[in-house]
Amino acid sequence: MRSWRSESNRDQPRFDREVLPHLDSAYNLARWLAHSEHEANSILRDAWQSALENIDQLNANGRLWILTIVRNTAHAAMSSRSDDLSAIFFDDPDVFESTTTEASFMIAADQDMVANFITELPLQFREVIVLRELEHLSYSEIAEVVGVPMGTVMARLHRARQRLMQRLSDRVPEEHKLGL
Amino acid sequence: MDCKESRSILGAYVDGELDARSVLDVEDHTRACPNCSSTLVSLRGMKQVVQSATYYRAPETIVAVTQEKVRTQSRFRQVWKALFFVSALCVAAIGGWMMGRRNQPPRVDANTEAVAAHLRALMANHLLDIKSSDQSVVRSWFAGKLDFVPPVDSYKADGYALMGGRMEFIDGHRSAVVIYGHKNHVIDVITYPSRENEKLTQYSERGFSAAHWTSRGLDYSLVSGLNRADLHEFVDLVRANAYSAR
Repeated sequence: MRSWRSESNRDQPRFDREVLPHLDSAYNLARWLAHSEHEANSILRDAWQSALENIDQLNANGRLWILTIVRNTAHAAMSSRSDDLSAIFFDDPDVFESTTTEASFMIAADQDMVANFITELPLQFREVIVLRELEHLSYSEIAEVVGVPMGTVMARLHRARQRLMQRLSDRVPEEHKLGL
Repeated sequence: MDCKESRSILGAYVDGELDARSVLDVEDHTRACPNCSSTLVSLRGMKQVVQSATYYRAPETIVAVTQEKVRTQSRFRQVWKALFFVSALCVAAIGGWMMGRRNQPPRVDANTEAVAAHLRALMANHLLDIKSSDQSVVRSWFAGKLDFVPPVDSYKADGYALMGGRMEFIDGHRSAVVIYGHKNHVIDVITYPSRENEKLTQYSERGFSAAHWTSRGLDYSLVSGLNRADLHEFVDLVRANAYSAR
């Protein structure tokens, strides 16, 4: 139990109250954006340090705030990588055409495979998918963390899902596909 | 709505991010269009699949490292804080001497602080330092920490259950917060000693309803997500109690 004494030093309890509870969220985002566990640890440590130094700038939601810092730290750390700089991506084939049933997705998907598909997404698509499906942020919250308009969030999610859908349906056995 | 249009917003539909009008449009369209309707099924399936991906929790080692950093940092900060505090005291003393006794700072700030404290506690999931529905347990928890006796009462018969307590720093005062639960809402009853004599005011801020008054040497703030009418009922109970039981 926290002692009352520490309350007189106001930044520390503030950090404990508003940022510390979101350590898992912060780590999860770092881990998905980074290419390795090692890189994730280093991103998280840098982000944490920066959050500590700037706690006085926190003025709203601690979770969104730490996620934003992690996201920006990850981008800075990874900006030298060419693979993630390429925004050129797949064309816009209407992959949603090749539909499959919900059940067959479940048959086809195992965790490793799903993780691979997400990891293959370029950074800007990967981050919106992770923030939406694993952190359950709303579009406006994602817009805040990523620093783009909500329309862009929606468009990126759409393209990320097209890509995931394509990869998933490649793996679904023919007989499970709906004939279209 | 045509298929192209429908496909571009089906994702937002599944995410529950469309406005009511567009929701109706999408539903009308998918009812009539087998292609879009099976796309919808796929999208939902895929969403489930993606959500089944590993959620990485922070490993113990990282937790330890970050906490150690927090502590080291805070020791440095304490030194700076102390220096800052001393200089602030000097400024305050000089200011006080020059200006003589001035009016109290505006009450608005304290109200905002009371609501902010409530919100912070909710967000950080740190509502209770002591969790108990037993009045005497909560009372004795406060006993060693405060230079006054905060009102810890039971309104169970009226549907307000005692949940526990925590400490806050409101408007420069070491304050007791006693927490009650009512209809899935929590109510913070914040008290600290006061010589003022202030009438009951009710206000709302950031979607919370709140009330403030002074009574028998204590400054009361109530903050809650309850609606105004319910909070008012509870305010009446607390006020009545302050006059009868104490």
